[in-house]
Amino acid sequence: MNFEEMVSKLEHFWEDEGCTRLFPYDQEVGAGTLSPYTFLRVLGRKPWKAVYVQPSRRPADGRYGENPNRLYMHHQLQVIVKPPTTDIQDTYLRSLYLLGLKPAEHDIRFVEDNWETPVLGAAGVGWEVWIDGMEVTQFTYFQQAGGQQVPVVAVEITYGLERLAMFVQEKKNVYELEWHEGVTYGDLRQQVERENSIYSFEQADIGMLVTMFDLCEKESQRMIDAKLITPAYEYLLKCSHTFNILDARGTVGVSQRMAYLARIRRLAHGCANLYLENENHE
Amino acid sequence: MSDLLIEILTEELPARFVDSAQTQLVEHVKTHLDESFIGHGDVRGFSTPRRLVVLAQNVKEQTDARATEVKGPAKASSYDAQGNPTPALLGFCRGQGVDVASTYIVDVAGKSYVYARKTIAGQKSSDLVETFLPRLPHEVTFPKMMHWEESGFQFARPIRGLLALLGTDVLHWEIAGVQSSNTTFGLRVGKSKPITVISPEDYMRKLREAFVIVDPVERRHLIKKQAEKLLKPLGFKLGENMGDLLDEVVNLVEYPSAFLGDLPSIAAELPESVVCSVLQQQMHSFLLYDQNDKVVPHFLSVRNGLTDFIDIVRRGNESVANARLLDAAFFIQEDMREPLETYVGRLDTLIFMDKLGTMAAKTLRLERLSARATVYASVTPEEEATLVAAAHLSKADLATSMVKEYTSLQGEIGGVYLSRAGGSPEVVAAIREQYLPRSPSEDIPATRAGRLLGVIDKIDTLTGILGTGFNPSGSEDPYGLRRAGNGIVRTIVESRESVDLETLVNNAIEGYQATGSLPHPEDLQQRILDYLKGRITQYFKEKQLTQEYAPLEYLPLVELGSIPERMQALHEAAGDAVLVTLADSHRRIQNITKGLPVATSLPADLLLTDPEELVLRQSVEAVAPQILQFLEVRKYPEAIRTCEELAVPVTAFFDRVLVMATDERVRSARLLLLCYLKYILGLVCDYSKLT
Repeated sequence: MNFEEMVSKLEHFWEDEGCTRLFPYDQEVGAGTLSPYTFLRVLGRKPWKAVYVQPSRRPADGRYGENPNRLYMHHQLQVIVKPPTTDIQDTYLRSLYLLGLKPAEHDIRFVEDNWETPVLGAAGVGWEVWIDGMEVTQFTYFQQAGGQQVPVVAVEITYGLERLAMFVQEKKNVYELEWHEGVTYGDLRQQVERENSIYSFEQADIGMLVTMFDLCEKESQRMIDAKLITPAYEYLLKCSHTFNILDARGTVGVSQRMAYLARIRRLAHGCANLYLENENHE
Repeated sequence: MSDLLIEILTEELPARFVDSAQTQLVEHVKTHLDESFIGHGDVRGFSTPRRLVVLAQNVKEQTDARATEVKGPAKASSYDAQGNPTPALLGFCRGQGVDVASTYIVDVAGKSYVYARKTIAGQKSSDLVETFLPRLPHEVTFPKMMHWEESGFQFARPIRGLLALLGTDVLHWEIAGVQSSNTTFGLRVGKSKPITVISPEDYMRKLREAFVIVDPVERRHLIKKQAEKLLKPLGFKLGENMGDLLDEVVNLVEYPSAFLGDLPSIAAELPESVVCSVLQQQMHSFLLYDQNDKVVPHFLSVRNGLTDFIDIVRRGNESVANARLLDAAFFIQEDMREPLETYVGRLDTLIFMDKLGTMAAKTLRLERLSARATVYASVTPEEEATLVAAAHLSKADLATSMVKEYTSLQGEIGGVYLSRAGGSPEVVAAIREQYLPRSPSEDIPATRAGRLLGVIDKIDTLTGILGTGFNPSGSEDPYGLRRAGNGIVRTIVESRESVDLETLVNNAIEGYQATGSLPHPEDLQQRILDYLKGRITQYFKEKQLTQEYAPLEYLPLVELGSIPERMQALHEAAGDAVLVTLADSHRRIQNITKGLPVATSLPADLLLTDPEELVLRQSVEAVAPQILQFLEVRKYPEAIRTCEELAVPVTAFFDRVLVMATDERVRSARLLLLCYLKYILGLVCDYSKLT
């Protein structure tokens, strides 16, 4: 099963489970959690079920396209089920069986792994899901978002698509994965990985990024004050990605780092509060 | 009589929570049964990653009828002026089903109350059990809890099933939206089908048929047996101290199947500690050794499930091991492009602890403390030079990719890198050993520099955290102070190292003042020393050593390392008959001087006149310098024997002299003499604790 087939099977599986199938958010994010489809929608009491692929950029994890496992950008399949159904674990397992995985032939485990992103004031408890020792999914019950206890818990299921595909296709190198018949992951991504690694480790213009962070932060705050959640949040995402490049570039000292994170956190809380305010007015 | 079986079925509980939850549940069930007056036999607990189970044997179907006394309203409000029962009394009697005539008056704390005696009829145990069942999940606590449904109920992981059977009776209860039933689930293999159970015995049997072994003791035993069967023909064995990992694995599986896997060739090029870390911490698998304790290129892992298709599981695990070890090799290769010294320069990007500055500042403090080692420890100039060099590089590995990825390898990685770069073996050893002992079962550092580096590092941490105003009371230990404190105590006591902790602590405080300030420096030295004394007391308690060896009231902390030798000396002197007399006298002295300040010398013009008190004074003043001299050179048997010379004069003193004389000056002179005597004896040991 090639990469695109696998993704499409999973998407349709969750669609059949009642999830709205969405497109990736069209901005750089470090994880599917940062997409407003997760970050904002897990707030408040409104039910929400969605599935979407999210390319996730982590500049510091770039390896110039040379490492078989680590990537500047990998792909996550993100599923949000809020509130969770009581058989959510079984439903998830069925999605794996759908990929041809026979339960009797493998050792599938839920191994404790709790997740916390202080920058977003978000935290959850859950597991890494292992298949024969390989971690393929992060399975989390949201407990906190925007710095507050969530009134209605959401389950977040994040499939690491490259990992899962390597398992399904029995490949040891991510670049050897078949994306489409005759087209490998390497054909599509290796050069991009190399360029983005060179950019974030060597080329990125630090002064420009610092200015950009300041500008985006200001704009985000201005939009929070204007009570426009979407632009406020989109500028926050720009801040977050800009910071990630700066961080990868190795120029952020420790106290500076804390200060940057605190600035992002302030915006995240501003957006979260705005979202909740809105929901309460409805 | 029938057995009572209770099962709470959950999503996968964190392995580290399972044992404690099982124990708690058993205790709560016992308490509830007893408080409900339900007769029962043994109460046992079982557990798997997905279920907490209690089995109470021989539970009586009915409780016995029993007499009880019930407290009613106060007498004053029970009868009106005419002596007629008030509505309050009548109401009480109606409620309890007793006649007014049968009530009686009892005085409670000076006030009179109406009481009634009544008989409570036997009740059905199943009704009583159903009353306490819903409380059970609330009573189990976990280090980290979560909520998942609208009631906000908290547990370690979501509860997905409840089951309770008293014999064949299905009991009804409900928690967090889950209704009890007479079904459970077996091992997760494909589509889960509910299993109906009709009795506790049936539950045990059917779960076993569904590949769940509910008894963790049995799972542990099975894993050991399977491992032995696999390893014996090959002549391999598990490493030492595998108990914790085994405990964890036991709670990761419902049905264990051990298997062997091959390590990839890259493993041979990596330090053993790295391979061990990857396998044990990331993969919950065991590294294997041959009979000469050499690592072999295989590992042992335990699958959750049957041995069917185990080759697929093995191949999967082997390829994960390969990927993870390759990753580690990549980090090591990248890290080693630069000498360890380079990473010292990057420590200013790492926070030591909130409010306590960076690792760079900590490194400077450790170097400063090391350079003063001769002030608080007996070290040679060479040892001091090793210590200083080690302190300088001690935290460098925290800035390497390898330690960022594998934090538990801190120290070890610094040592490996320095050693591969040809660093001095003594410095390498000190860097490696600085974090030991990380657990009560781990040994203390083997080298002098390693021990001292470990002690000053931990003292620096203790100083910083207590200096932020943190109050270490209570059961939580968020900063690992207890481990640091225990590490200091164990290192000094078990190595018999002579470290003057008071001076060391003073220097550590100065170190912080030199690089910045501590938010709460008030009484800091005292707070640190008090904290350490607490850990020392705890240490001796855990070792089940009695207090006589740790007379901390007098013993300066500098003597901590001498305690084992003192113990030995006292042990040898235990047969001396005179010790009994001395112990008696020491007890009398302590009683009579309780609360008085310590006297470390005697004034010349002490008002002593009776012959016995003069003799005692002469004796004490004669032996005191000798005792101090013996202690100075750590000749403890001699110090004890010298103390024994005081047994006769002190007994004579107590026989003839009335300490509490009416003349205040005489009295205080005698008390002062005894205080001094107490001080001198206390330097050697607390004889009063001897029996």
